[in-house]
Amino acid sequence: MAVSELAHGTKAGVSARNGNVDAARLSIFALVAALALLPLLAGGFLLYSLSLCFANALAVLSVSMLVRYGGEVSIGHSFFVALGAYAVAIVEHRLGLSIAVSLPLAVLLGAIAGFVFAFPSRRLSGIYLAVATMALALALPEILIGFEKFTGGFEGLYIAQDLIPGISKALQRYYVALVLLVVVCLALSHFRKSAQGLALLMAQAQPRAAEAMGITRSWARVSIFTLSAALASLAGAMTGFASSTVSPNSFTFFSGVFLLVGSVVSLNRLSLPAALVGGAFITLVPTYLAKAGDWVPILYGVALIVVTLAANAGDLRRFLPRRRGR
Amino acid sequence: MSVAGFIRDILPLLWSGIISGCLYGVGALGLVMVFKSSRVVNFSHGNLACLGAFVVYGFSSGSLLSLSWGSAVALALGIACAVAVVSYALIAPIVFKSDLASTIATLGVGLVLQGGVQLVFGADIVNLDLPVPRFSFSLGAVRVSSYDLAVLAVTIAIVAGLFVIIERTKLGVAFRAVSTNPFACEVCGLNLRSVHLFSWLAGAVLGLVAALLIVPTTFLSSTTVPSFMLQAFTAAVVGGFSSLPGAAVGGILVGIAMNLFSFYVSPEFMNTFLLGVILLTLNFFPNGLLERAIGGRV
Amino acid sequence: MMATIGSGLVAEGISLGFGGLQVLSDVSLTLKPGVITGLIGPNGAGKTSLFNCLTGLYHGQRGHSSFAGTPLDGMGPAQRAACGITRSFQNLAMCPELSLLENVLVGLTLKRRSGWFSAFVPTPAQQAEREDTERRAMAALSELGIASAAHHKPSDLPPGTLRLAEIARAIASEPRAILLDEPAAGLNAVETRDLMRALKRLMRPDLVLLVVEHDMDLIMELCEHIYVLNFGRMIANGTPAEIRAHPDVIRVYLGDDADD
Repeated sequence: MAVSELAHGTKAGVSARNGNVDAARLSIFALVAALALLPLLAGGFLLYSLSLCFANALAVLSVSMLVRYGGEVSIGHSFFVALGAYAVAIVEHRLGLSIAVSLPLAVLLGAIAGFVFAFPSRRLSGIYLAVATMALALALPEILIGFEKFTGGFEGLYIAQDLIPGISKALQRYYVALVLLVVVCLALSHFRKSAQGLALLMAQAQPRAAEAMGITRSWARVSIFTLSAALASLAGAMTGFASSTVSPNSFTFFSGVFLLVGSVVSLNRLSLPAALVGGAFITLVPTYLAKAGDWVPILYGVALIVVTLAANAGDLRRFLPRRRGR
Repeated sequence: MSVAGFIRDILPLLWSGIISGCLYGVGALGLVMVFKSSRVVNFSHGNLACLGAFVVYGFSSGSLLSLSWGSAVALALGIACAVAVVSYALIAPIVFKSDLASTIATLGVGLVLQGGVQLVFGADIVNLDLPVPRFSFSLGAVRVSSYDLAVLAVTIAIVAGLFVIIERTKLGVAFRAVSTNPFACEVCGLNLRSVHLFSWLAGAVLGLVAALLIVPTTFLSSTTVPSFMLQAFTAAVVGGFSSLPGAAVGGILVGIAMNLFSFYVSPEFMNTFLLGVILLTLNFFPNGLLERAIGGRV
Repeated sequence: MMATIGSGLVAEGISLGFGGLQVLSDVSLTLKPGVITGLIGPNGAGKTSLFNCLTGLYHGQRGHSSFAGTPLDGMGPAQRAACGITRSFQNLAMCPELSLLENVLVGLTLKRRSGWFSAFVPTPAQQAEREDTERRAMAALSELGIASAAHHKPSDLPPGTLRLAEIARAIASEPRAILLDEPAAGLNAVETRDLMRALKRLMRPDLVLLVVEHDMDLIMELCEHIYVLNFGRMIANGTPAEIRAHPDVIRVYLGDDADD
C-alpha cells in the first residue's frame, strides 16, 4: 500500500539525508578550522585580501538573503554597505569610538534605512523595488560627495582604531571578519528553521496561501528587506574595518551590481562555502585582473547570464515541452 | 525672490524641462513596451543606447570610420537591433518562467555591453552633436533653439508612429492583446515571441533615439547614457510602468520637476531627488500619477 | 445593520460581479458550529467565488458577513485568519522548498510568540515553542494518516498526500472555522474515504466546517447541511434528504450524475 511504501521511503530518505548533513557539517567545520589556522602560514597581502573577501561575503549574503526569502533583486545594496562603512568611519572621527560601538549602530541604521526604503513598494511586485534600488545605487555617490563635511568627500575617511588592543592590525581584521562571517552563517541557518523564516519562504512561494495563514505580503516584503539591509550594513562596517578606509571609489553604481553578481555566482545560497565563493569572486577577480579592467564587467555580465540560464535549465526541461509543442 | 524674477525664471525652466522631459519619455516608452509585453524590466536599456550612441560617434567622427552622420545612425540602428535580438534570444528560454531571473539576465547583458563600450572606446569623454542648422529665436521670455525644435519634432514623430503601429497594424493588435493577457493570446494562436521581439526592437530604437538627442546637451561617455536612463526609469514609474501615455507624460513631468529642483534647490542631488520621486510615487500612486486620467490603457 | 448576531459564520445577501459579469447575486448562507456544511453546484456556479468572499480574497459589492457576531466586512485574508478562519487551497499551495512538516508549521504562524531576536539566535523559549509547534503539526499530520511523509519535500509526494497535508495545515492551528476548497479533487477512492473519516473525526461542537465540492456523493455522505449554488444563486439548502428530493437540484444535477 502507498502508506507503507512511504514509510520505507521516509526511513531511507531521512537517514540518507542525515548522512549528507553530517558530511556537509564536517567539511564546513574543516573549512573554518583551515581558515582559522591560515594566519600561521600566510600573511601580508593574502590575509588582507581574505579579510576583504569575508567582508564582501557578508554583503553577498545580504543580497542572497533577499533573493531567497523575498524573491527580489536589488542592485542598490551598495547603499546599505556604504551606510555601515561610513557609520564606522564617522563614529570614529566624530566620537573617537571603535567598532565595538559603531557595529551595532551600523546594523540599526541599516535596518532603519531598509525599512524606509522598502515601505513604499510594500504592496507592489518586486519589479518596482528593483527599479527603486537602481535609483538608490545612482544616488549613493552623489550623497557621499555632497555631504563632504561628514563623509570626507572624494578623499573619504580613515578607520584606524582597533577592536582588540595589543593584536596586530592584520590579524584583527582577519579574525574579526572571519568570526563575524561564521556567526552570521550560523544565524542564517537557524533563521531557515525559525517561524519567521518559514513564513517568509511560504509568502514568496505561495503568496495567497500565506495570506490565508495570516502572513501578509507587505509584512513579508518589508521584513525581509529590513533584515537584508541590516546585514548589508553590517557587511559594510566590516568592509570599512578590514580595509581601514572608506571612500566613494569603493561605492560606484557598479558596486551594487557586483554584489548581485556575487550572489548569483554563489547560486543565492546562504551557506558559508557559498558566501565565500561569492565574496571571493567579487573581491579577487578585480584584484587579479586589475590590468584587464574593462574585461571585468564583461566577465561579470557573462557570469550573470550563464549562471542564471544554467540555474533555470533544470526547470526548462520540465517547462518547455509542455508549454510549446515543437 | 521677487515675483517678477520668479516669472522671468519659471518659463524658461518649464520649457527646457519639457524638452528634456520629451527625451526621458522616449527612453521610458522603450522600457514600458518591453515590460508590457514580456514582464521584464530591461536593465540593459541604457547600456544598449550608450553603445548605439558610441557607434554613431565612432563611425562619424573618424575614430573608427568617417561616414556621414546619417549612415552612421543607420549602422548604429542596425547594430542596436541586432544586439536587442541577441539579448532577447538569451532571455527567451526563461522569460515565461521567472521575471526575476530574466531581469537579472538583462543586467548581465548590460554589463557585457558596458564592458564592450569601455573596451572599444575607452573611458574618454567625447562630444556628439546633432547635425541641425543652429539658430534660435525668442518667444516671450523663452529662448527656443533649433535643438529644441528637433527634439520636439522627433518626439512627436515617434509617438505618432508608435500610436499608428499599435492602433492600426496587426502586430500592434497582438501587442495590445499580449500586454493584457499573455496566456489567452497563446491559446488564440497569437505568436508571443514575435510580439516580444517587436517590443524589444522598438525599445532598442527608442533608447538609441533618446540617447542621440540627449547627448548634445551634455557629453558622451561610457557612464552618462546609462545613468541618464534613471530619468527614463523614473518617468516610467511616474507613468505607472505599464502605460505608454503614462510614460510619455511621466517623462515631461520628470523633466520639469528636475529642472525646478536643480534650479531652486540643488543641482548636485539630482539622482537623490529622483530616488525620492520614485519612492513617493510608489507609496502614494502605485499605479502611476495618471491612473485616473488615462486609466492605464495603451 | 441587520446581520444576524450569533455564533457561526454568516454571509447575507452577497453580490459579486466582475465587469459586466454577475458571479453571485444575493447569496446568503449560515455555517453553524458543530455541523459539517456542504456547498455544491455545477462548474461555474460561483462556488469558488463565494468561497473567496468568505475568506476575504474577494469583497462582494453588496452584502455582509460576520463570524461569531464579529463583522468581517472589509477584512482581508490575513485578518480573517487572525479571527480563527482557515482554508485549504484547491490547487495545492505548498512551498516546494519546505518539507511537509514545515509546510504545516507555517499554518501555525499566527500562534508564534517568539520575536525577531530568537529567529536568529537560539533561545530556550524559542526552542520550547518550536518543539510545541512541531508536536502540534505532527499531531495534525497523524490525524490525517500522513505522519510518515513529514520529512519529505512536496515534490516527492503523491497529490493525495499533499491534499491531506493541506487539510492538516488548516487544522493544525486549531481554528474556529475551516473552509475546504474541493478537498477530494485528485484523490482516489481509498484516499477519499480516508479523508472523509478524518474530517468526521476532527469535528467538534464549536467548529465551523465548510466543504466545497462538485462531487455530489461525497457531500451527501459527509455533510449534515447542504447549500446548492447554480448560476450565482442559492437554489436550495437543507439536509441531504431534503436536497436529494429538491426538484431544482434534481434538474441541475441529473446531467452531472449521468456524466459521473
